[in-house]
Amino acid sequence: MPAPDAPELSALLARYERPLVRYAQSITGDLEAARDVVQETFIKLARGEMKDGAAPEEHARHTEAWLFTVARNRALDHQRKFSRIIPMPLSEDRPCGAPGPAAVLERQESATSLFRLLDALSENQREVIRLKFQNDLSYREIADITQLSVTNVGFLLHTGLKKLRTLLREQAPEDFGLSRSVL
Amino acid sequence: MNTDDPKFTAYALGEKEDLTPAECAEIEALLANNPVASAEALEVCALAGRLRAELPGEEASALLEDQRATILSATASQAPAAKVVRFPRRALWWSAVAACVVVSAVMALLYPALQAEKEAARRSLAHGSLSLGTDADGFVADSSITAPRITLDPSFSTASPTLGAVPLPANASASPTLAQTVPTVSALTTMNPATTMPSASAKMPQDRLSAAMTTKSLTSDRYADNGFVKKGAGDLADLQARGLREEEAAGLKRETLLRQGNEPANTEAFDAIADNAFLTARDNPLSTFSIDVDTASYAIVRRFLSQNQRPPKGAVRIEEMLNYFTYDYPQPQGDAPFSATMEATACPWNPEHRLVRIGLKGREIAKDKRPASNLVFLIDVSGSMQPGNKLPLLKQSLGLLIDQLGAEDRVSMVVYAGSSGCVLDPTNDKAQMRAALGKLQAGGSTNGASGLLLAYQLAEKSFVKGGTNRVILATDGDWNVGVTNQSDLLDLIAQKAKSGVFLTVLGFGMDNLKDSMMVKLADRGNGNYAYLDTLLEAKKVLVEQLSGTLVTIAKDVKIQVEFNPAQVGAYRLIGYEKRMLAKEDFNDDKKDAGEIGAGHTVTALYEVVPAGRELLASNKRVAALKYQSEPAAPDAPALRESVIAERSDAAPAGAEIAKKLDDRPLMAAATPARKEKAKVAPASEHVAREMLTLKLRYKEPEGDTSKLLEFPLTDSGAGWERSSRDLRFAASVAGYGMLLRDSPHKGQATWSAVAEWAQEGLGADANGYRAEFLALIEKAKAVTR
Repeated sequence: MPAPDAPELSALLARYERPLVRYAQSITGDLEAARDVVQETFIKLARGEMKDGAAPEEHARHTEAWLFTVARNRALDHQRKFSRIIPMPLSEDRPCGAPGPAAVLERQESATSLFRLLDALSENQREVIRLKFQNDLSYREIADITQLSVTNVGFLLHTGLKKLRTLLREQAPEDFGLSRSVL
Repeated sequence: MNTDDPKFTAYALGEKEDLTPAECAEIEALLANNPVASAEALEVCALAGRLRAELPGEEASALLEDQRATILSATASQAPAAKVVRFPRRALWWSAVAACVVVSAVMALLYPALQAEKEAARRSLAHGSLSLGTDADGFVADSSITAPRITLDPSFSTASPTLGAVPLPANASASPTLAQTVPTVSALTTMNPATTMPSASAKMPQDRLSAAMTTKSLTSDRYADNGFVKKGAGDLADLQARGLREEEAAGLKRETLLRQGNEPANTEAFDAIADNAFLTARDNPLSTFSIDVDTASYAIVRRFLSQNQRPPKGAVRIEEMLNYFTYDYPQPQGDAPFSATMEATACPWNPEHRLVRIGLKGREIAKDKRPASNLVFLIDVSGSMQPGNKLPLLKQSLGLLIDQLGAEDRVSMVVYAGSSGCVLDPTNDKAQMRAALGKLQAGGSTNGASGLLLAYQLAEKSFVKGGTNRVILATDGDWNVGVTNQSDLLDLIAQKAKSGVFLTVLGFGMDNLKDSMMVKLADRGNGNYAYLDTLLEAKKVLVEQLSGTLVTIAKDVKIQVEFNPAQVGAYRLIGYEKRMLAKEDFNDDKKDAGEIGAGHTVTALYEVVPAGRELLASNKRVAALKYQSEPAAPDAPALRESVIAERSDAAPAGAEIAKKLDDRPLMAAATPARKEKAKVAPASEHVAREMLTLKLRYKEPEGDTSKLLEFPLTDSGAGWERSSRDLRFAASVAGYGMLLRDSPHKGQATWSAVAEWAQEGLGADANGYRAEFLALIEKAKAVTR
């Protein structure tokens, strides 16, 4: 697969940088690391490291899955490397007064119980739910990205959704009810 | 395949890529046949929709400018060609939406189709040939109505002179219509075809067709709406085989799904109820039902009204409202565990009709004579029980109950949430009971089944012979973890009930009360079901009527009323729709029915159309029969005689009756055959004047064989002004229920009329319940305006 040209690359960047950073951040738990991961991912793409594996009409989906796969692997690498290091928050890292990512996250959490409930799921379940519903990927794509079997993905989604339903029903019956009006 | 299979979720999410066609078909069949499954699928769809709507809204940071620049410089940039970059189409989202539509559509289309198929198969097995039996009756009844009317149709005017004498051409010319009508009718009507047919008066063939089509589409809707129908197909066929009306057999839960769709913030589940229809005494002389001492519906409706909401129709069960109140019935005489009282008066909402009240009263047991109790509190402490009107009220309520207990009474306590455990071993130490109660906290999800098992085990372990052995389940009924296969659960409870451990269900809360489940639990567990919305209500159920709640004095109490066609044209049982039994069930001791507690009163009302009075067109659902004498025209004197004759055949008077009934084969012989053999056996004059005979069957709490009691009633023709207070009050409660249900039979009932009857029937009202009812009428009037 030839490397994408500049317009193609900037289009892909514009389309995927935010979803990828968000996804990587969900693994690393750290925004800076997530940005680094996504930068590396796109550089690999720019250098033509993506293997050609799909028919032309599948190219776009293939690219998308590839981006997520690479980002995931890099993020996990990062995790493995740094998981034993306890990060020390340094005051000069951030301008005073600006809310840190943790605070931002917290604010979102209070806004909706759904994100809070996601925390109750296992890491695996959370990840496939994100890929499925945040990034609209199919079971097969998720299986490719996570190196799990399609059956495994199906199982994780099934158990994850089941748990979410249970949690929703008992923690916020009203919320749960409202969700029914979505469809 | 079941809902716990990941493939089921995949299907609901629209992920069919990796499902084989066989798996898809299996899931579709499950969705069509198992309402619990379809409800689950809808839930998955809804949650997926919400995740799709909300998750992408999560904060997503961009790269930094310099990072983006680094990436762009990494590519060996060529001459910029205008290249279209295509991103994956958002096809998945649509496939998921489509999946939801499919889930609904499968329910809508497959369910009735499958039912019809099964029904047809069942019938052809049962009758040997589909073209004979009840379907044929329905068919013939149709044509006999249609044929004479055809003469009114101008397009058939040339044929009309011969039509009267030779009906065949009329049938032939009408055949296209009939041919289309018949499959519809045969597929959808049940043993009693007439009940689902639209009004038979003045219909052109085309009208009949469209009316039949309407019936079909209505019926389909009903099936489609069957959100949480618990009865599987086998059950359904079974019920229909027992001759129940289609509405009951289907166990409609329309409202459940409607509520899901339209009132999403509420997950309460109520079974829909179709009002009992008028039945002619000639064709259906026997009306059979199980008693019911539940009172929950009254309190549930009160709660809705107090929130200025109109209660869903399915929550309005008139029998439970009638039985919420105690009436002044006499104590039983002799050995019988209960007394029976009857009274007839002018029906206040339809003065042409009579209103008959049947009242039973269980023997009262003084507090200190109450047998020793072995009570197991089974308490739901799942997260959903947290609100003040649930666990806190529950603790107070059970505290009241503990206050009432004597030294002989033992209590143990099981809690259930994600897991279940015993928190109090059997003890008669009230301090320990209170301490255990005080420690209860809500948290976790609900696994009702394992808790139930544990509770029954405890109850059996400390079983008190000759005493009260009872599991008291206190919950909002939101069972969402573990074995929630309802039929398994119900089977378990029914089995335990046989061992002598009965069940009391106390319902709490308002968010997700699973009313229909509670009704069934109590029903199968030889128990009672009360809804506690306030501490006052708890006091009524657990203090004032504690003996009734705890001590069962007779079980499997069945009522069979035989109407005398000489006096009664048609009748309608008000309420008890969920308690109807087939006439054969009355003498079948294996058929479960309701229990009556110490001091309990049970009240049932019949609206009766006197013989000779033409039924209102809207009530005339029963088409004339071709093979049975002539169409009912009760004012013809000749017919009156034959009617009397039939009555005497159907039920010989006097002491023979019990034996005769017992000897009768389970399935009654076909009516026409019996009629052929019937010889006019002159009934004695006073028997001919009787309006009805009330027959009761019951078993002692630990007995297996039933006893029979009989009481005849002769209508004195007394008007409303001579009716008793209790009857007036009961009529008011029935009117209140009918207005809330917007019943087709409400007649002239209005809110102010209902209030007037209640006022007239107020009586002493020691506890103030009747006065509260008056206030509720006002509330209902305002809410339903």
